[in-house]
Amino acid sequence: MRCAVIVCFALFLSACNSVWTPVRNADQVYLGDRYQVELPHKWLYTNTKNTGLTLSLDGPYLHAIHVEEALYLEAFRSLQRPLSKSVLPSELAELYLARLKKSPENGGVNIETLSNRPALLGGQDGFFLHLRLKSSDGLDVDVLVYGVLRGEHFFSLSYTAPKLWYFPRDKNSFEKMVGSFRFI
Amino acid sequence: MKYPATFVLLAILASACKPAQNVRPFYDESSLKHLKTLEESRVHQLADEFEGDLYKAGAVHQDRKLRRYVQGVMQRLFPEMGNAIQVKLLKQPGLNAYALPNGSVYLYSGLIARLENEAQLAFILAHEGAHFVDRHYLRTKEYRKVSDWVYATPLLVSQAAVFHALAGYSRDLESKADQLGIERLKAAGYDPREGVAAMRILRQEALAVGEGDDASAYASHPTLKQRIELLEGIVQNWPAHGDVNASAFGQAAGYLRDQTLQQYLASDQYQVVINLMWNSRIRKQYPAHSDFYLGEAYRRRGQKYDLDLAIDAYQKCLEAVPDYAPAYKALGFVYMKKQQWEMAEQVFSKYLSYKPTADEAAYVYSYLKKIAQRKGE
Repeated sequence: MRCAVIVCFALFLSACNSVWTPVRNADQVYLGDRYQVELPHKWLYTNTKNTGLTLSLDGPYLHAIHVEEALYLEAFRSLQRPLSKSVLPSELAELYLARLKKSPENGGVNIETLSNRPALLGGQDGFFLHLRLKSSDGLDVDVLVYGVLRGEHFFSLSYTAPKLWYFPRDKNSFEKMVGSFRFI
Repeated sequence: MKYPATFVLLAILASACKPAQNVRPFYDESSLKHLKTLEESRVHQLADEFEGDLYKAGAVHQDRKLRRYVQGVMQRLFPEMGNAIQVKLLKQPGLNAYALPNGSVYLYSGLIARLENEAQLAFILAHEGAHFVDRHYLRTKEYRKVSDWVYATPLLVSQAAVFHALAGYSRDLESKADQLGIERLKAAGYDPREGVAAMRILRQEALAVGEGDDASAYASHPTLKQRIELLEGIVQNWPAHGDVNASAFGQAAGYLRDQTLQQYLASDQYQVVINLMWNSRIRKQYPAHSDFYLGEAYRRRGQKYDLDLAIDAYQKCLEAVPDYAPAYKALGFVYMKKQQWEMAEQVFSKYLSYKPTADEAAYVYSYLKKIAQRKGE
């Protein structure tokens, strides 16, 4: 699960370089450039230009919610293939998966797709993925992703946590956050 | 696994069991005398650790039935070794195999997928088995160099041995493993000509997927062409005689061809799928619906004209296998992209008639709803 390691490393870097702020109110809203979202109460959040908005309750090495907002062409640049602007939600899910599997060490063998279906994010047609990654230590890590393309920008909300304990414990906080996501 | 225990076990097995007929013993102790002082146990330990990582990462194929079948072929080739050589499969579409110093032989599922029968598989196993039984990991120049210079750093010695087990050996050792492998194939009652056939297939596939004639990373390795010539020279005077077992092999491993194309697509290697499917000799070996994967490769690659090429490929698939539902769904996606709504509706409906409750049917229902809304407007 190199991608999870990379995500953790990115979170580690962000943890080192940025300030983590507690969510003090139950209905605290975060305003991004093009979206707003309610943050889960008592979690910690940080926002950096490179990694986007990241939240965690017990530490980003254990579990995290991540909000990605990027130019569509930039978000999938690593795939090195022509990107159509008339992309279907099912194709957007394929692109997301391809980006995740791009790591040569991964080779796609350690990512299992448990669910891939259409979903709404902020009222826009997009995709929902439920993935299972295996860490080099054999730990199963579940990932939920909602993704959508709006104009020139790609948005995704993802939740990454070990299958045991953390994933079921905080899944509802993530789903509540997804439900509150709005474009502005 | 500690060296003394393994060594004693292998020595007992080797002496107690009768080797396959007419095959000279692999274990040439006299030539390994200078290595007695080396920390072979550390080599085994490192191989065990490497193997443990493969399992933890979920890279090992879990088809127990296929693994039992392949293990049975290995035991037919090396009856005197008992269970000392364990064959395992890796979920990888490439053309590779290696024998670890601890006796584990790893075959990529993509390599097995390319073969046509059990005798060809047996040759690959005999070649890898020969690397292990003849302890080639202790015979490389680099290993000797490291071991002569740095007795005090067994880790370097071990790494050199395991590295060569994974990356391949010198020309001499590869050729020797081919020679021992083909002899072992014949002695076990398989048609040795299938060993040559296996190498021809692998060369053809390696060229198609862009690995070139020299699939190894080292200039010192023999090319596949050279290896084929060596094997042809050995078998030319042998009568064409022995088991082939194409049917048993097909039942156990036939599905791997399909899986290999899926793995190439999953790892974004679209050009490899296109190359394989455009090679008419190779295409014949793949299932009738394989043009679906060609269509997928075009659709996902997304270059100019690729959508039209994808439509052609999906239609060709449906001509061969009219009830292959995924091709209808994919065709619908392409028609949606090309804004040919009626065509999209038609093929999506056809897909749902076959797969009304499939996981990805949710996308199809949502697209049909959009098409209906467009009609209403």
